[in-house]
Amino acid sequence: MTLRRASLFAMMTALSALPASGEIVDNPHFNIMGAVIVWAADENSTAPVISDFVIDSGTGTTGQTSGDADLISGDVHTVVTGTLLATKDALNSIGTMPFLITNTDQGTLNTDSNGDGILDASDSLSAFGLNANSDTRVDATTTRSSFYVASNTAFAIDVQAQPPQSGLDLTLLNIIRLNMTSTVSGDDGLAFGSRAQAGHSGGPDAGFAAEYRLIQTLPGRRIFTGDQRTAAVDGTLAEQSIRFDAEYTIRAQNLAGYDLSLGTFDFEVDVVYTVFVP
Amino acid sequence: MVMAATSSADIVHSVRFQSGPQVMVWGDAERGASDIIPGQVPVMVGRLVSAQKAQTSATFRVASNTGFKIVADTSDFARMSAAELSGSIYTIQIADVGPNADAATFQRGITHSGTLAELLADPSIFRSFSRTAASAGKPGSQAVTFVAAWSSPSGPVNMTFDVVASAS
Repeated sequence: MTLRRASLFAMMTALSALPASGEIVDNPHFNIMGAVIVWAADENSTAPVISDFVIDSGTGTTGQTSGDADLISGDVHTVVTGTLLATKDALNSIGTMPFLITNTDQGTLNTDSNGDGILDASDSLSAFGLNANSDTRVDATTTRSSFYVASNTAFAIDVQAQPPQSGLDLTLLNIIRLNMTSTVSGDDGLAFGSRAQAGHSGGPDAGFAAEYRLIQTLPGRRIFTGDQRTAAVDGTLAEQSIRFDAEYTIRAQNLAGYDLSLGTFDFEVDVVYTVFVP
Repeated sequence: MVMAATSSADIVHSVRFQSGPQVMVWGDAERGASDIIPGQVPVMVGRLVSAQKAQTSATFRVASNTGFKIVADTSDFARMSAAELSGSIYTIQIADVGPNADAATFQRGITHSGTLAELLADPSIFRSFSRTAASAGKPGSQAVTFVAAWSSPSGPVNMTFDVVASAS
């Protein structure tokens, strides 16, 4: 066999090894994206309502740059901690901050006589004597709100207060302190968390930023960084949800001089939390 | 892949802190009345307890962080005739203004007067759209002292006053 014949033979052998028919190749791929579901109240104060369904479609490291998608337009509104009452219908919209009255003939009096944190018609006082040393000022107060999260992945939460509208707003933003923790299980009218775990492996108080003054959050701040999903075992959405609790406090030492001469005021600012998957 | 979503997942809390109207009212030693009673939200109401019938005047002090009005309880007028009411008079005078009170608004010596018949038609004997407290201090120093007096040819009249926050 000459060299030319040998080459031709090798080529024909190789061709005969190819498939005779055309094939279509499939590669089945099921990808479960990270998903975080947030629920509380909706814009109409109806609760419980799922108003955020976040899927991990981005890689950004902040709420603003995460690139994650929310499949439900519209925002969640928080509820009063321990209830399913939308916050805009509840605490501090039907009552006002209590006053502390010192050096009366009955000692120190707080106009929040029933201890619910606000002054309203459910409070009552008896007549008391005043003297030259009797004094009064706005008393320390706290308001609390919550929302619920169920996830199949670790997630984070950013917080941002909206800009103040007046000088007094700026002052109050400076003295209102924000702390956040979580509660793994409970029943606020809908039982939650029986099949959940904390969003951080360190437990329900782990992963949270230290206390902020609201003014510090104007540019946006991280308030929670989780390292695990909330869903621990199979169950319903509520069973796999945990509750995030925000606490806003004005301390007594920040209220010196907040006496009758300050007049009345009604301070309101939106604080926005953004849940995302880093 | 095209997502249907357009926004990030935001949770909104409208943080709200209110400091509502506060009116502190206390009477003179003779009457022994000092009262502060939370009333209809968000108004604080102070009621000066009923004076004794033989009494024809009352001194009381008001310290407030909001406007207020002083209203007479006219329930004792029912036993009086129209002529008696028209012949009966009242006065209310600003007798003193504390060092931290709004002296420009509450000028010492200002007096309002009228007949009890007029009070029956409109029981407000004094109205202010301003708070008494002008600068920081104790309520006693932010208070305005009022002296109310009344007389009737038909005999003693039982007068009671309500001091009511009135922001508008």
